[in-house]
Amino acid sequence: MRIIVADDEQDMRDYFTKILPHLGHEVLAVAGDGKSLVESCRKSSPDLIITDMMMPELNGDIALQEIWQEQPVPAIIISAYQCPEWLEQRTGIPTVCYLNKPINRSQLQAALQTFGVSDSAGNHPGKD
Amino acid sequence: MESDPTLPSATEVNSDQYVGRRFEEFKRYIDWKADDDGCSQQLLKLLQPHFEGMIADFYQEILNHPAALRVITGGERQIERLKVSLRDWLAEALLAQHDAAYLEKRWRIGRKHVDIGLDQVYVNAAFARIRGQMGSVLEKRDDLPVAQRELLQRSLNKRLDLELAVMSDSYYKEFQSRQIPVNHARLGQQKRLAILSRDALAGASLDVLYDQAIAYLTESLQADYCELLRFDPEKETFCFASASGWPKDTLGKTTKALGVDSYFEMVLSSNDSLEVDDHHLRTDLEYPALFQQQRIVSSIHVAIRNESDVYGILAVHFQQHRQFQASDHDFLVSLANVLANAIHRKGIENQQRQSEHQLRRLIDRLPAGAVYVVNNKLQVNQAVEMMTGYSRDQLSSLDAWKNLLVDPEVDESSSSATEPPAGKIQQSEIHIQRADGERRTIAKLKFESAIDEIWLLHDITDSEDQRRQQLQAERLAAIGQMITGIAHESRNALQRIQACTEMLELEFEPESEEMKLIGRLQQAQDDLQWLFDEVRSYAAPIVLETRQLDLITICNKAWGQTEPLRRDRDAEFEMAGQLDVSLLADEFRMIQVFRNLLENSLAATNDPVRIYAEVAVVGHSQVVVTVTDNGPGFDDTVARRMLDPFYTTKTKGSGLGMAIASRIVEAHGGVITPVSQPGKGAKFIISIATSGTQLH
Repeated sequence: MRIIVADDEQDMRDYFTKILPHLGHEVLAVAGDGKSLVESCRKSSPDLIITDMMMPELNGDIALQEIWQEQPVPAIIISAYQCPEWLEQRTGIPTVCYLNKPINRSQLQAALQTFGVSDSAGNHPGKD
Repeated sequence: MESDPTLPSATEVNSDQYVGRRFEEFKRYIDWKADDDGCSQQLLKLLQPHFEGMIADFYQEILNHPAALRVITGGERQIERLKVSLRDWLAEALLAQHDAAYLEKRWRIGRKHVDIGLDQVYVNAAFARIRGQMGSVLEKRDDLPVAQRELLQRSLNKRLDLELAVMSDSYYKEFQSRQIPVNHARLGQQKRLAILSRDALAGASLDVLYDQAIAYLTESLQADYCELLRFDPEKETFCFASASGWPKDTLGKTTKALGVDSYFEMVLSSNDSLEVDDHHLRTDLEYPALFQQQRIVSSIHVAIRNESDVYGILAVHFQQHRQFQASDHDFLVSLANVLANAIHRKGIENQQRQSEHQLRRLIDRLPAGAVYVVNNKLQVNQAVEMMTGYSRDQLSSLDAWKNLLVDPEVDESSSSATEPPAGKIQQSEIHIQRADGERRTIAKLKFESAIDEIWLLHDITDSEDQRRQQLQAERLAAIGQMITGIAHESRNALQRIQACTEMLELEFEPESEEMKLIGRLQQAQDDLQWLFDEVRSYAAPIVLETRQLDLITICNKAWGQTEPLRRDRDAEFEMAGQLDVSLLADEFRMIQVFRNLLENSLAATNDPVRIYAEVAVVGHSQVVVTVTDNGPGFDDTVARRMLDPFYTTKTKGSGLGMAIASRIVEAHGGVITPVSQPGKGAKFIISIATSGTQLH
C-alpha cells in the first residue's frame, strides 16, 4: 500500500519510514504536522494515512476531515488519548482504525492487514 | 364578734342611757310599784332614828374582816368621812328618788369599790347586815297594822335589792373592763404567738407549725376540738392537716368540696373570723354534719389567707354554748396570719428551690460541657465529666483542671497574659488528656466577668479527625490524578521507546547478543507499560456496564483467561453450591475480579493447585462466593493489608490487583474479605448485594 505518515515526533516518523517498507508498504510522504499532511495528500493520493492525533498546526482528526472532503482515504489513527466520540460513531466517513499508544510492530501489522484484505468500501475494522 | 344585745359595748357602759335602761329593767324584775314610791317617806321616818346604831355596827363589823378592812387606808378620819357617806346613802336608799343623779351616784359607788379593791362579796354581806337591822326595826313597830308593816318590809327589801343590783352591775362592768388588759390568758396567747412566729421564721416545717398552732389554740381556749384544714384549690377540698379532740382517724381526712358546704365557703370568703355561739341558733348557716357528729355547739373559724391566696381554715369548737371574747378572736386571727405567712414563704422557697433545681438540671443535662469558675473553684456539669472521664469532685479546683491540659501554657497565656476586660468572650482550642489517657481536642468558649468565669466546652476531636480524613482524601485524590496524568503522558514516551527498540531490532541478526539485550529492553518496557495500565485502571473511575450474567460463566471465563499461567501445570478449579445464580454485573469487570483471585492462587500455590469456589445465597439479598485454595494462605497482618493499593507479597506485580478487585466489587455493592488461614490455604469471601442478583 502507498502510505502517507504524520507524527510530530521525529522518532515515530523514522520508525514508520523504516518499518513500513519492511512490512512491504511504500511511504509516499512523512508529515510533522496536520497541515503538511493535508498538503501531502493533495500532492499524491495515498491508499492509507497513518497519523498521530495531537500535532502542531492542525490536529490529526481535523486534518483527516479536510482530506476526506477531497478524497475518501482510509486511515489508522495512533494516539495516546482515548478514541474521540465522533470517531466512535463513525458514520459517513471512510474506514478508520484507532490504535492506542504504545503499539508494537505486530499490532501495527495486524491493523495494516485489516486494510490489506478489505477493500475501501467494505469492512469496518474495529478500534483497538 | 357576736354582739349580745344584753351586754353593753365599751362605749355604752358609761352612758346614762345604758344605766337608765338597766335600772328600769331591774325595777321591772323586782316588781317595783307605785305603792313602793308611796312608802318612801314613812320608811325614812321610821328608820332614820336608827341610822347611827346601824352605822356604828357597820364599821364595827368591818374590823372583824381583814379583807374588808384592808381597803380602809386613811384611818379614823377616813372612817368618819365614810360614816357620813353611809348615812347619806341610807337616807337616799329609803327615799328612792330614782333620777339620773341617783343612778350616777350608785354607779360610781360600784366603780369605787373596784378602785379600792373591795370584793363585792363584802358589799353583799354588808347589805345583808343592814337589811337585817332595818327589818328588825320594822318588825318591832307593833303600832302599825300588820298589812302596813308587811308592805313596808317588802318595799324596803325592793329598795335594797335595787341598790345592790345597780351597784354590783357597775362593779362587775368596771371589774371586767379593768381585767382585760391584764388578762393572764391573753399574755399567754401573746407569748405563744411570739414563739410560733419565731419558729416559723427559723424555718420550722409546716407540719410542725400546724401542730404547734393547734396545741396553743386547744390549750389557750380550752377547746374541745381544734383543727387546721388545708385547702386544695384544684380539688376544692379540705384536708385535716392537724387536729386535736377529733377522733384519731380524722387526721389526713379530706372533707367536703368548696361550694357544696356553704359553711366553709363563708369562712373563706370572709375577711374576718366566723364565730358561732350556738350552731342550733344559726339558721342562716349550714350546720356541718362533721360538727353534728361531735355535738359541737360553738365554733370560731378563721381563714388562713393572704391578699391573693387561700391556704385553709383554722377552727376551734366547744360542746358547750360559749360567748366568744375579742381576745379569742384576736388570738385565732393572729395564729392564722402567722401560719399564712409561713405557708406563703414556704411556697416561695419551694418555687425558688424548684427553679434552682430546674436550672441546675438544665445545666447538668446540657450536651455541651459547662464549667463555672469562681475563686479558683470549679463546678462542672455531666458533659464535662463524660468529656474528661473525671468526676466533678475530682475537677473541683482550677489546679485539677490544669492537670488535664496537655499544653497548659497555651490555656494559661490566653487567660491571664492578655488581661481581657470584664464581660469579654474568648474562644480557644485546648488539648486535654482524659482519665483513660486518650487525648481530646476541646473548643473552649470563655465568658469572663470581674468575679467569675463560665466556660462552654465542646469536644471537637471527631470533627478534627473528619477534617483530617477529608484533607487526606483530597490529597490522595490529587495524587491519584497526578499519577493518572503521568501514566497517560507516559504513553508517548513508551511509544518512542517501542519504536526505537523495534528499529534497533532491524539492525541486528536474530540470534545475536544485541538482539538478546534488545529483548530484555523490550521486557522492561512491557513491565513498565503494564504497571502504568494497572495504576490507570485503579485510579480511573469505574463505570459499570451491567447486564444479567451467570456466575458460573463469569468464573469459567476468568479461569479460561488464566490459561497461560497454568500451561504445563497441575491446576484445577471447581465450583459447588448454588450454581444457578445470576448477577446483574459488568462482565469484563467481574471476570477481572475472579481472574485476579485465581491468578493469585496460581502464583502462590505449588502444584497440584486446587481452587474451589462455594456459592451460597444468603436471604434474598446477597450472594456469597467463598474462594479457597490449597496454597500457603496468609496471616492476619497480610489479610488486613491485602486490599491496600501497592501492597504485594509477590516479587513481581504492581500490588494493585486486589485493590482493583476490591474496588470493582464495591462498585457492585459488595465486599471482598480475605480470611486469614495461615497454612490452610487462602480464603476470600466475596459478598455482593443482590439488588441486581436473580435466581433462575
